[in-house]
Amino acid sequence: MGTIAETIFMLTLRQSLSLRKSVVLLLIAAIPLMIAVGATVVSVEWDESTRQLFIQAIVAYTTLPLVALIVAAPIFADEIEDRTFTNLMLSPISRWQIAFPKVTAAVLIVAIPMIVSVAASIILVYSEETYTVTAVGAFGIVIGTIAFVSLFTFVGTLTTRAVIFGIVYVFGFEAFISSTIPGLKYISISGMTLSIMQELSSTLVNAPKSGSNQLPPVEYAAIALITIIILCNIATVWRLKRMDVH
Amino acid sequence: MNHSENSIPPSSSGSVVSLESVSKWFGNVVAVSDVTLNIDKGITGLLGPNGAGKTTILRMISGLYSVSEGNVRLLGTNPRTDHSVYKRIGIMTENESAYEFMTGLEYVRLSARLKDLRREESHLRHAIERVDMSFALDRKISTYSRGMRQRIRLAAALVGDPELLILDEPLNGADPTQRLRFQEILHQTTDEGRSVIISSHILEEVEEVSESVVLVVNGKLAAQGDFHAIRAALDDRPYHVKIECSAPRQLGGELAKLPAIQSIQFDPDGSIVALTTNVAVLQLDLPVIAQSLNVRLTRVQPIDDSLESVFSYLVEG
Repeated sequence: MGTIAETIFMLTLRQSLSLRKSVVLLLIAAIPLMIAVGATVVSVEWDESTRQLFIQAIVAYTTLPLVALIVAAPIFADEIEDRTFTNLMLSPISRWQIAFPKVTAAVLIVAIPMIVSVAASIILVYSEETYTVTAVGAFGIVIGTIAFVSLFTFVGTLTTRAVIFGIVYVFGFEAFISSTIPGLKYISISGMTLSIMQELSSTLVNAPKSGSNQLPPVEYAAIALITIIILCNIATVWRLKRMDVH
Repeated sequence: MNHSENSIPPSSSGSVVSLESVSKWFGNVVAVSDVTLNIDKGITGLLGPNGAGKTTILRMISGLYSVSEGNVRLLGTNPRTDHSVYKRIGIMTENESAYEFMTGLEYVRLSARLKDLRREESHLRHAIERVDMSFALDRKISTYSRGMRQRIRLAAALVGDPELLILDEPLNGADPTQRLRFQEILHQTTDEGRSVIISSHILEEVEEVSESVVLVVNGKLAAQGDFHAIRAALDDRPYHVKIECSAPRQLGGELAKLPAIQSIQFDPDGSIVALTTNVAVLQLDLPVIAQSLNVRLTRVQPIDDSLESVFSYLVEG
């Protein structure tokens, strides 16, 4: 018999990994790998600009937040909507002990397929410093996942329409607006994640030093990401403490 | 009935639940208004028409809803801040939600684990046997009938033999056999020294299982106390009875002479509306008088016997 937190962790895995959800998750997570394989098959020349387009636009600004969204937004929202959440809220533990195993489960569900997909893609796309670039790519996926999952989990406690909010956020802000208006990378989770990855490997990420695609300084990015993760999780627990469970 | 005359003075000692000036509103809608009550050990029925605020009160008691004003104590603690109290209670909410992808056994096991129960398997077996669901343990909940779903949810609430059971409309979807079994379970529970709070909008449902009732109307406490005292007061209240017959004027004239009749009115549709303080006497006398007058009765119908009218009477009284 495990602890209550282990029970909630296993329950979340089971809820999030139904056949339908797993197929959708794997298909989206495999987008970078499918692009890399497809490009290799048709003998696309991977120069610096196409590599950057791949790692930034495809992986960091689109696929990673999208996978995090479809996993994290429903982990509370679905249970609140179908009214099974009372089962968890009537357990004799603190509210953070409900939130922590759920967020942990969501991070694992997002990170594992994303790391596999991105690592395999990097091996195909990058011909130099492969081990370093792959390790940095995996590290970037982990920190980006934690930040996005924290954000979308919190939004899922506010509204059962968190996925709609998330789609607007991912495609509207992260993928488009933050790349068109200079300075908005400072409030982009993908931008901050890329900044840290660039610091660790300029081969993997090599963003312009000016203009709308300029990344924030790494010190700022690290502090901002940690702040986002901590604040979103505190806000989630705060929300659980105050919500009326219908 | 006057609330102050008929209610049992609540005792704070030994109360399993106490509400002190509790109100709850959602936006501009007041769901519960200034309710103060103590619920003692034993079985207590929370009775009121649909929309009266029963579920809101139970959810505030359970800690699932915050209170807008006032204080709630559940087994002596505030359930919103002291979550350890959930080890000591079992709750069955009104909605029929359960994890559809689980089997009945998995669902009850989850409930045991979420209560951090030791000797989990013995608790499971005991709870499941009590609701007679051993035969469908390995079936998915999504395949259960409404009654089976309620029973497995009751098993989940019973697991660990909690000190207090809070059951919100638990008999929804239950057939007569299941109702009898349910009554047995509740009586067994109280015989073991545990307490039960059960809500319903059906008077007879509560009458079958509990002696102490809390009546809620329009979000307010209408009455609290011994069921039989309240029921007696209900029996004494005036009722409107609509009578359709072959000669309304003739029958109405005779009925007006009965002491139990307060007034007689004739409806435009040709029927009689009698206001009586004693339905039982009217039931006995009416056929005799009709027969003596050679009047044929075609329909006799109490027109304000709904629970809502009973509650309205209690509140206005």
